[in-house]
Amino acid sequence: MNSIIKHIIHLIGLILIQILVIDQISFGSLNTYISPIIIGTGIIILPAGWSSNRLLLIAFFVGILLDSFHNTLGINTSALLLLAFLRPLILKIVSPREGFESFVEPTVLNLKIGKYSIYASILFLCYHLTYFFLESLNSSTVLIILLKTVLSTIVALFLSLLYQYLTIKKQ
Amino acid sequence: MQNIFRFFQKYGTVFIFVILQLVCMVFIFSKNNPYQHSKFANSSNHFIGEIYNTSNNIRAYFHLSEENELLRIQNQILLDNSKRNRLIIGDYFSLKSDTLYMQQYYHQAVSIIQSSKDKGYNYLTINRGSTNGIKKNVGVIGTKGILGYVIASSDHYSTILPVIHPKFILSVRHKKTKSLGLLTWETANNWETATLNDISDFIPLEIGDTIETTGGDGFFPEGELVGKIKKVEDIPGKGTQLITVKLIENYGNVHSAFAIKNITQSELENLKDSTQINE
Repeated sequence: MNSIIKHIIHLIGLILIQILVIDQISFGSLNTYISPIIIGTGIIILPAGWSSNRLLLIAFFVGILLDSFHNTLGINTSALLLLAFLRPLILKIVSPREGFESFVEPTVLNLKIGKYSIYASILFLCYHLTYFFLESLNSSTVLIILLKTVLSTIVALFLSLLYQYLTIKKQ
Repeated sequence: MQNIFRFFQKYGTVFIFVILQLVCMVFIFSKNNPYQHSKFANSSNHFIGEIYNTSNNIRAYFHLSEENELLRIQNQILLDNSKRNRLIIGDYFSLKSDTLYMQQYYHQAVSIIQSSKDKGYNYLTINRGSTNGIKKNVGVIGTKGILGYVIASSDHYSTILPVIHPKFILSVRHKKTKSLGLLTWETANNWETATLNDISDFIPLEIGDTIETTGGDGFFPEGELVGKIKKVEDIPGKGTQLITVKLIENYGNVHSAFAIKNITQSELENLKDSTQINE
């Protein structure tokens, strides 16, 4: 129960940070190419034992909420669903041979920075690729979408590390 | 029967994923038409508007001086236009309070509490809604030129479709020659420029010429500034020119704006509807 409340607070906090801080940051002339979305962090750090169905439902509601703020109904949700769907598969890559205990949260503190970076960057890459692809369905060349995806993923990964170092205590 | 259960046990997650993704696709593809924009899940929603409003109340202090400067410049232009500064040099003149004139447009000062400019779909949110008479199709101008028009409003907040959105279309004209064109925007334009189509290639256009509104759509009064011509290209074989317009309003820095209520808007819409029926 305790961990459910903790994660709800994490998700709400991440949405507020996204819309009130990160969306307001200006990267100067690179602004068109860098628009990181860090809400994926909230799904990435959910306990390893939680079932995929639960992850998908959480991703759906969080996505709709963020979409309402961004006026992009469906786009964030779709990308976040993909992230939640792929998470168990990617987690297998970085987990030890016998697998994680079900309560372990795959945060940067539990996984160490190298493994976490691999795990999170693959998921953020999928997220941003889906997001920018859906956002510019009929215009924009593939090259621009890829550039946006790579740059935004790097910044999002950095911000998600920062977020975790600031908010999560070492267990 | 057992096989069905076993199927769901094995592929249940994939099943849920596909169904939820389909729901998203319905949202995305119905949203492409801004007029079908959902009533609840956008930034004019009361709860979301409150959050943006609170954050704007804090951030507003950081650009007060720039904002003052913009409004002072606008005031200066308005003062210059005032009648008391003019000398009557002809015999013919008219008073503004003449009963022959009816005021068609009313301006209302609003604040922009949320804006985006780098995304594929950009929107603005303002802090006035239907209790202040702001409804769909009300035009919004900034301190320099046009911003967009309202597509959804709640009691206290409204969402605006700005020029820098792929679904934005407005009939505008070249100020010198009064020739009409269509103003649109693509993601390939960044937030500083828009595209102007449908102006024939025999019309002389120069870089720096002013583009203004026609007033025919009822969103904006006639002659409201849109931008200046930045680049002109001929489209071979089509007889029209492809014009890049530098927008006069800086979307990176919009905070105060005016909503323009047109009291003859419903009349205009009824007329448009009835002509469509006749066709």
